[in-house]
Amino acid sequence: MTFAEITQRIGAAFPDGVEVVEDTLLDPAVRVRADSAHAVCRFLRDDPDLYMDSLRVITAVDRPPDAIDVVWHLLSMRHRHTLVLKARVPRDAADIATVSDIWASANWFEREQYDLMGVNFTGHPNLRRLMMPVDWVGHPLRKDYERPASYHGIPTSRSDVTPVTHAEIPQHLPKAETTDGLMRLNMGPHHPATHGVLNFLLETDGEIVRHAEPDVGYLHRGIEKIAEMNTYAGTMPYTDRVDYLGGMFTNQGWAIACERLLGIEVPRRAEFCRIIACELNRIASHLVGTGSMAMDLGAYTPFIHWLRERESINDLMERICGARLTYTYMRIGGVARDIDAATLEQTLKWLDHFEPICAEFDRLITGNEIFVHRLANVAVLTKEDAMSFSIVGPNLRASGVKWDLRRDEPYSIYPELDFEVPVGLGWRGTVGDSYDRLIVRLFEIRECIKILRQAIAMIPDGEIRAKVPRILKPAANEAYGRVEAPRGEAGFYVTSDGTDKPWRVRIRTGCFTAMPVIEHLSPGLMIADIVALIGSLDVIAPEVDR
Amino acid sequence: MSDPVVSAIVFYALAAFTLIGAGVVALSGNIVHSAFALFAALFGMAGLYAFLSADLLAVVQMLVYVGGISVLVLFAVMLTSGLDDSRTSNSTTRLVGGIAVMLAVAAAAFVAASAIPSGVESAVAPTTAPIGDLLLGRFVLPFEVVSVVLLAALLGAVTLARGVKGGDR
Amino acid sequence: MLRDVADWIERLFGLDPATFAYSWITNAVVIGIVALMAFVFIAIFAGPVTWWERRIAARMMSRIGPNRVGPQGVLQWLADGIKNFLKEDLVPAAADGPLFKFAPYLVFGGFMATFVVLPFGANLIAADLDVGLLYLLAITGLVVIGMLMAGWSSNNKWALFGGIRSAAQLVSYEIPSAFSLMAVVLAAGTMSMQGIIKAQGAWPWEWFLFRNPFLFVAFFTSLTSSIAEGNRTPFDLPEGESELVAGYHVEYSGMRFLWFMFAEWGNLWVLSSLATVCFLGGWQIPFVSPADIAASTGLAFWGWQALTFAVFATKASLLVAFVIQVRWTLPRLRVDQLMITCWKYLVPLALFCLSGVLVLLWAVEEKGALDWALRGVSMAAGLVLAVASFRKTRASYMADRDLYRRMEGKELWYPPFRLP
Repeated sequence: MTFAEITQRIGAAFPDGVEVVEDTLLDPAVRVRADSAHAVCRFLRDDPDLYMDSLRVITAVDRPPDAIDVVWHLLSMRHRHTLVLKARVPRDAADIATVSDIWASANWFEREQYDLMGVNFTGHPNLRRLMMPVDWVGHPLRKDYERPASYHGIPTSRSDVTPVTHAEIPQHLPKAETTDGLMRLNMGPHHPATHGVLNFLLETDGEIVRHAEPDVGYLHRGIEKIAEMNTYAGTMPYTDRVDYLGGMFTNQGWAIACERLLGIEVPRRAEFCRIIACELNRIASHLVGTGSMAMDLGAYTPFIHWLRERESINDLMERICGARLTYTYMRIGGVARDIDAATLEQTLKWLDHFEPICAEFDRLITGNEIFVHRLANVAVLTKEDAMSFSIVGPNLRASGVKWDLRRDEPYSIYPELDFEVPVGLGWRGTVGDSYDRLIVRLFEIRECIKILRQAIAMIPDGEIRAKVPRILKPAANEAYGRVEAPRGEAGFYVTSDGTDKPWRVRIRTGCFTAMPVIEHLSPGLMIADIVALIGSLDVIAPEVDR
Repeated sequence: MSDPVVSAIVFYALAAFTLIGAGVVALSGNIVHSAFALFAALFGMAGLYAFLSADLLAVVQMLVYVGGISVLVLFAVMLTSGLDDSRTSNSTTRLVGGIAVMLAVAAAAFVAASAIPSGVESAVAPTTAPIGDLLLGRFVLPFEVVSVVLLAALLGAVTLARGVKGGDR
Repeated sequence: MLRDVADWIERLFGLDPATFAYSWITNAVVIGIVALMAFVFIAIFAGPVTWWERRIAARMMSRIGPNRVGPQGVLQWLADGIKNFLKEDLVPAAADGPLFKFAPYLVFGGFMATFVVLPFGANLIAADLDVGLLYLLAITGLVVIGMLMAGWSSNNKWALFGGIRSAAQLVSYEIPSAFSLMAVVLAAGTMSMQGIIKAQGAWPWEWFLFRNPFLFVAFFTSLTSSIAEGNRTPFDLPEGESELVAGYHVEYSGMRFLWFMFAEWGNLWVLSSLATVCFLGGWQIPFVSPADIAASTGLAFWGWQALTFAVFATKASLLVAFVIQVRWTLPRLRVDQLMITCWKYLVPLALFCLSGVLVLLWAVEEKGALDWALRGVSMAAGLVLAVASFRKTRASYMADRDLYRRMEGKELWYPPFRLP
């Protein structure tokens, strides 16, 4: 359905709910009244022709002096249409009904927007701060936010370098010590199996976990706020650090969002360069993801074998862009450097070398009985739960939903390439268990090899960067640029206000929505299964916290 | 042992170890310390058996008491007391009664022990074969009865544990 | 030597040989010297095992492993030991001080005491106890207590978890281990280690491994249980690095930590030695009977000792290498899977082997026709197993060899398949 039809439907169902129809935006949006937003969302989700089954991201955009916009990006995978829904709330009484009873992922989205922008979502079951400590004062993403001089005695800026002792910083967990015989354990933030600085508050009955609450925010660097202070081109290096294992993808997501805003068309050779770099990066990321999953389960050798292969990819990346991990290869309008023919030839040689090594990995570990028994039927994520929690990427595909942005919302030159989208079939257990998530990633590596071969064969000559003005000042508009990163959808919702700095940047990552799934699936699992679950979801801390 | 001085040293050392362990069990304020001291006392007993050349008995004492029963007691103590309240244990208010009982038991043991003719030195020989012969020869009935009792205890423990778990669910 | 030490003490302290203090000091000094010798001896066994493990693991992972300290890195363990000895002694403030400090010694003591009964050669055994095998099983119970002590006294929930898990695991796996070894005791007729070796022969068909099919299966249950007893992957849940962050010894560092690790790697050697003694004929040399060795004198005697030691060390080392390879290949079992493996699979199997051996002992006459037939069946089973694993390995190798061959002449940045 087109945007006009959708808005017509909404207008028909809610005659005085619709305030403004903003169809001049790049992603047309409809603004509804704040008090009918919840009903509209429910209507959008339940109506069979609209069926917005996936909530992509919730953003709160500061509109001084007196309003805050709450923006829902909705997607219907069944009907393949999207909608941007907005509601405006007054700044000093920013109350709006929660939609966490409609989409489970809204729970964490709303907590973060409450934390950072101060929107009060009424009816939310657990509206606590997510990124900032529980006793932080202020909402950092607001435009009039003033950073406190110190926090519990720790100075917040370098000008004051007097060392002080700081008082006890309170934990996120509000509950007191349990008296019902459950053991309280802190899994993290220093833990080899949590894939970064993540903390899980476990309540266990012996070995079996009764509740596992993820406690994030240890790696929150405020990239969204930093992006508001930098120019559009200057934010590119920061996007690498959002997902350091998939730097090319976040680069590309940011570039796509900015290119949409500026109306720039990327030359064909640049698109091919981008795809080659991205697919190499996807292989590298999946190598680390599957390898560390094996290592968490006790098989150290396959991980080292995968790292050996990843070294060659790092060397290829070094030839392409000069860096091994944080690439900053993309530019707005193209790429930074050209990929020369020698590098392409090396890549082909490496692909010839690497392809049989996937089979070697399978011989070593994938079919191993112990490995299968550790992963099969463990932490099964059903299709409905995956959709409701806005899971994306290989996790979603492993639960049986064949949704890949490269195929279903194509961008760049993916429509010209021929590749399969692997879906979880319950190979050794049930659909959506941890083993499926592993196998989907292993298949995706093979598909990447296919894509790379095609792209290298098809790459044309030409420019690698479009002609772009030195100072990028897009018109006041909004755009959502998304790519299929190894961990799912990396989306950048950029609001520009006509100056050379963005007004609001919202980064949507796949790992963020994977975290509440851990809480949802944990009751009844054993601690060893929690480790398998975290590894199979391929969670990375910087993506969660940004 | 050939040299009486060395054997005296060894005996007194083992006895002291055992008795100190037992003392810590009874008098310590920390229940976990008591549990570990129990292990020490039983280990000392094994040493005394070895000192008396009862090789099989010493080894079985290690296997059963140290490797089994001490671990069982430790599990019970560690899993039932929280990490915090292990400091509270037996209070020593009953010290007088305890000492009285101990003196009475010691007196009885002394009387019983002096009834055994001393100076009986048996040849140092492996005891496994004779014990085996006795267990399956003269004492086969008590042996079998004990095994039935153990089986009943095992079944009872399993039933109780399952009953508790079943009640929870 | 006792006489020399006695004279030296007499001169040093000016003591009268008849006094109590004299005997006391002399014996104490002698015990100290012997203990130090034993410690060095054990270190020489446990240390190179760590070197070998790291080299094998590295090769399996396309790496090199330690190769700097000493030729090919053989002195790496010495450097590690010295480094750990010089580290800061950290005792957590909330930990139970005396227990925390004592636990490593319990674990190490439980491991060290097993060396007393290991028969390294025809007459190279510290104490040929009549209950040697049972003593070995019993004294490793000290390790369980030590683990519990370490886990508890660290005042750390993860350490406690690890300690309790490991104690449960060790206590559970003692049972199939004991059953399998009792099958061996039945076949040998004695629990003495030298006696078990002497009941076997030097040729493979005289080993207990191939004596009858039940003992053949008992070898594998015994080896599996021993690996579980030693906390090795796939049973290394108590110290699963990626789950419990080193389990019961997470709060230990420096030398205290090294005691635990020392015990773990030395235990590799002990369990391999145990399997060698019980199933692989120990130090027996073909064509030479133990009686001949005992009767020889002088240089011949020591020559035989050296030869038997070499045979024993070779067999034990092969088993050590096998256990190391198992560790770096397989992932680890979850705790409930581990318990299920023990109680539902290994215990019935070991019991079955035990009763089978009992029946065969009673029914089959030694060296009779049926006995040889059973040995033949076991050897055939062993042969089938060896051939099957060889073929599987070869298939993998061939698949990779073609890949590596295709790589020849192609220019890559690293030569990953030609390690120095």
